[in-house]
This record gives sequence, C-alpha cells and structure tokens, in this order.
Amino acid sequence: MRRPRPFYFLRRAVANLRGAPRPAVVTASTIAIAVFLFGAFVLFAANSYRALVGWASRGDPLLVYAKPGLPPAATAALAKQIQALPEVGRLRVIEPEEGLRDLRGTLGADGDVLEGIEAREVLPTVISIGLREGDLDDRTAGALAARVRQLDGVAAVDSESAWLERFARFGRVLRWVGIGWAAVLGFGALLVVGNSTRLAALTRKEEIEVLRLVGASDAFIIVPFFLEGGLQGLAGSLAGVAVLAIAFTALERTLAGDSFLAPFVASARFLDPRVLGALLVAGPLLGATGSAGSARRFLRGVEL
Amino acid sequence: MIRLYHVSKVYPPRFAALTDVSLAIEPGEFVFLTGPSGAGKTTLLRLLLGAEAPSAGQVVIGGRNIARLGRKGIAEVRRSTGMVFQDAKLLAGLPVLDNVALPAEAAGEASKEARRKAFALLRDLGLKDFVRRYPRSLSGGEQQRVALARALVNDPGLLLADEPTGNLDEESAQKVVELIGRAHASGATVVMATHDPHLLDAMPGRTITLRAGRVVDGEAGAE
Repeated sequence: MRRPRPFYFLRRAVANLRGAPRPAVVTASTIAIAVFLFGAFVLFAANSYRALVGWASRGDPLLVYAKPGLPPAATAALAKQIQALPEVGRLRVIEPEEGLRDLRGTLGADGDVLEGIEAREVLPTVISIGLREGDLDDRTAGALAARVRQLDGVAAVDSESAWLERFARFGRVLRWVGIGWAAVLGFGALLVVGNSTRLAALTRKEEIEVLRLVGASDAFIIVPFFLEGGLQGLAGSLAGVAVLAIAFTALERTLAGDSFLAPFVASARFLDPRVLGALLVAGPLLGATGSAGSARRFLRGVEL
Repeated sequence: MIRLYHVSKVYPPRFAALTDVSLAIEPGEFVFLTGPSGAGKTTLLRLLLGAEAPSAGQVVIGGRNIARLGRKGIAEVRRSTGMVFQDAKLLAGLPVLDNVALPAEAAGEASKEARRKAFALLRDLGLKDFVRRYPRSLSGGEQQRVALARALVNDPGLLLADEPTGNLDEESAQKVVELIGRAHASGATVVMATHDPHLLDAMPGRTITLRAGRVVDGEAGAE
C-alpha cells in the first residue's frame, strides 16, 4: 500500500545533507547571497522611494480657484466637499487677503504698487490641495482636477502634473529594475543550485543505481532531493535575511549621526512583512525546484 | 515463469555478450548459471532484472515482455525480484537495518513496518547483532549476508544471485549458500551465477553452462 511518507523522506533528506555537507553549504550560501542582494536592493529602493514621496508630498499639485465673489459660507462648503474626496490628503484655503499679502511679499520693495487695492475685488479665494502619499501620480491628479472642476463655485483648476508624471515614471522604472534584478539573481541561483545538486547526485550515483535496482520509483529517489533543496533554500533565505537585518541596523546606527542623511535614516524602515515573507518563501522554492529539476535530469541519464 | 527467446546482447562497438540464448525456468526451480569469466552470466542476470535491454529476442517474466515495460513496469518487476550482487552494493551511509529495509520502503511499505520486517529477517538469518552497524564495519562475508537479507525482505518470487560467494572464505560462503537454500525452500525461484564447482555439488539444481555468450551445456528448455 503506497502512501505519502513526509517524515520518512525528511529523515532521508537530512541524512543525505549530513552525509555531503559541502554541496549543501554551497547551495545555501548561493541562495543566501541572492536573497541578500535582492533584499538590499528592495530595501534601498523602498526607502529611497519613501523619502522621495515624503519630500514630494509636501508640495500641492492642485490649485482650485473659487468663483469671484463667492460668499465665505459657500467657500467653506466647497472646501468641505473637496476634503471629503478620497485622494485628498491635505487642503488649505487661501483667502484673497492672504493671497495679496503673499503677492506683496513676493514683490518686496515694489509691493507698494498694490497699496489701496481691495483684495476681494482682484483675487479669488484659492484652495490648495495636496494628494495622499499613495496617490502621488499624474493620472490621479488629472482625474481629481476634472472632478473638482465639476463642483459648484469652482471657476478654474490648475494642475501641476508634469513632475508627478516624472515621479510616477521613476516609480515604474524602480519596479521594473527590481523585477529584472530578481530574475537575474534567481536565474543565477538556480544555475548554481542545479549544478551543486548534479554534483551531489554524481557523488550519490551508486546509491541512486542501487535504489533503482531494488525497485525504487523516480519519485522515491527525487523527493529527498526536493526536500534537501528546500531545506538548503530555507537555510539560505534565513541567513540572507539575517545578514541583511544586521547590515541594515549597523548602517542605520552609523548614518544616524550624519546631519545630511539623518532625515533619510529617520524615515528608513526594514523590509515590509510581505516582502520579507516572499524572500523567506523564495529561497526554499528556488532550492527545491532547482534541486528536484536537476535530480530529474540526472535520473534520465541513469540507464538502469 | 521465465522465458528467454533467442536473446542476444551486443555492447558497443561490437562485443556480443550473449548470442541467441533461449531458455525456460519454471517457478520454484533452482538454476545455476555457470561458465568461465566473460561467458555472459552477469549479462543474463541483468537482463532478468531489467537492468539491460536485449539487443535481439525477448525476455519474458511472468508473462510480461521486459522490453515492453516502461520505467514503472520495470520497477514493479524489481520489487518482486531480489538481487544479490557480487560486490554486495550496500549503501555506505545507511546502517544495516536501513539497508535491508530499503526495498520494502521503495515498495511503499511504511517505514516502521519495513524496519520491522527487516529486523525479523536479520534475526532469522542470524544477523541480529549487525542492525545498527554500518557496512564498512562488516567483513565481506557479513556484507554479503546482509545483501542477501536485503534481497529477501520483499519475499521475492525470484532471487537472482551473481557470484554471491565469489569473494568469500569457505565458512562465509557456506553460510550464504545455506541462506539461499532456505529462500528456495520457502518457494522462491533461484537463478545463481557461479563458477565455483563446490557450490554446484552443494546444492541440488539445474545447471546451464554458458561459454562466449552461448548456452553450451544443460537443459535450457530452449525453443
């Protein structure tokens, strides 16, 4: 009667790893390096992007001009309506008087030319809108501008979307570079895992032949290789993440004293739990598939 | 029942290990394959185990043509066949008990049950003291007896033995022969390759003599 025997195979896998530790260490180290390099990239990219978002979100990309002569109560109602929109992170109402003051300040010594001008006669009330951090892109800004334009009491909307577009493009580039980097590292790790498994299979060629001769199925022979790869991958992932965490903490402490980088360091965070989970899963997956694939190819070459 | 029909085996480039061999072996028979080195005895056993495919002719075991079986089919045949190799072929990394249990585990037995069977067999064969030892700590004769236990753990209907006493002293050889005799007495068909004349005298059985890959003597039951 055939039935799954995970503990039996796990026992064999562990015994095999203990029997040939060198290829196992090579595989685990390769995966650890791949996990560390990819994790380091994600860590750097995510923190740079976060710092950039923090900086960019200080500017307001939308300016809403109320219709001239709009009563203060209607202006307040309009501001409340805009504030309720989900993309809006922050909102500031600039009354004509404040606008005139700003203009005077901008003109400096020539500010006298504005003497005697009644603010409400020449300037509209302006509502300055900042987007939420997650919505900092040109499409969101454009869509929001179009919706605000439809509201009662709005004369015009100015949208500063050019820099937002560049910002969104930078985010996309960062994502694609990350995917490419992951693919290169993953492929490289897979090659090394495959080769070290072939090496391990070669050193166990006689064992594999004996297993074949006593009637073992391919699955019976391959499953321990699959588990060995998974265990090596898990060890590699844990080691890679641990080294990354140590390096991050050390770097954070070192740079905290630097006055230029301190704000960046203060907002820096370690890997998102989802990324961390993905890295911890990627190692065993990489190890198991690379090892089992290589063992399967090796078995095809065993004639018995 | 085993049938060989005009079986030839040629190794590249043109070495004929077996040429036009036909024979029949009935269930429960004890058959010696004898002849000088290079006569084709080992090749014939490997054909019966499905470790080689014939270059021509058919090898039929239990009504099934070995050449037409896929990898799964060959594995099934091997699970009901025990093989003792001249060099024992024990796995150095496993203790004796695990080596003997291996074919039962490969056949799908639960590990505990396979080990229980292996232990019972080792005890019956007088090898109980070896269970925790590793093959490298055993003498050649002891290794061969353990290999025989491994070959018997699945209660095979067919036991193949390739010069099982070839490298052993007289006492060890005698013990191995006794064990093979016991397997035969319990119903297994035995095909043993040997060029030891003492063995031929010690055991009752049919002798088929091979020379240069051809059957030259003995009732082969050829068609």
